[in-house]
Amino acid sequence: MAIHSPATRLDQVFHALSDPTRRAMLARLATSHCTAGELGAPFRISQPSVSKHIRVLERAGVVRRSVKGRHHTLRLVPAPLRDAEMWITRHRQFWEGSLGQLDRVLAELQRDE
Amino acid sequence: MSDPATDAFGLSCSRWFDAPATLVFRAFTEPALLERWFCPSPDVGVRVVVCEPRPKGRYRFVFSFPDGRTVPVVGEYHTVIPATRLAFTWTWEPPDPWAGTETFVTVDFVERNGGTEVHIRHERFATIEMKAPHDGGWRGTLQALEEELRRHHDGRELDPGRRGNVDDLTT
Repeated sequence: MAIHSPATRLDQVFHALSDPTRRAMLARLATSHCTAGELGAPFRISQPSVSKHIRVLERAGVVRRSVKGRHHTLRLVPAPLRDAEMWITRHRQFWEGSLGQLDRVLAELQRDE
Repeated sequence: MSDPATDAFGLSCSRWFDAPATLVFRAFTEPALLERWFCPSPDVGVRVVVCEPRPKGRYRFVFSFPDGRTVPVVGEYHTVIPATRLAFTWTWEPPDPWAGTETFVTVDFVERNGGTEVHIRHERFATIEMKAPHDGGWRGTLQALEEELRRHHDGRELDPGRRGNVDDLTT
């Protein structure tokens, strides 16, 4: 397993989240662990596509596979999702806070003119 | 929101201002005006070191936080259409926890109801293949996912220690 920088990992998580099928898969895994077959069942896509989506999720570190004999169980790993959430939260706070200040400054500028 | 062409994932926010688009645009592109507002709260200072609002022009802003830390953000302007659109890259420098991660900001200025609506999208491009059709509903989905995660983990992993970073820009 390669050692990834936080930036690379964030990229992979954002990539994983950029697809609606994968987001639906994560929402499904948030309710309970399941097999690859169960995870792919609700989607009208081929088995290779399902496997590909799962590989993207595993690479991003948001899904972990455990193997017992022939049974592969997939589980959600929430921590990297929280990193992405933190990135979004923090930048949203930045923009919302700044735009609040801009409102005040625009009022001042127009009053002074 | 996401841009279907890139299938990026990020955040968006909007706000209406009681001011003409030409003035709001100036506030985003003139150093003296930027230094009066471009920071998340009044106790954070911002110094505009470089600001060249033209395609391929650079910018460098340095934020000073009440605890004495200074954190620069740098980038390059891609699109500069007066009173209409600004697009630029956005990269934090150390000591920011996301230093070195290039992100992309698009600001649209839309005149509406006698004022100007500003729409901001801030995204980290998805870097790999992937050009799936887009439902545009990532925000709702992420929220639903967050709620699921909270329910199933009793908030254990949302401990205040991890929240610390979130406050970097606002305290």
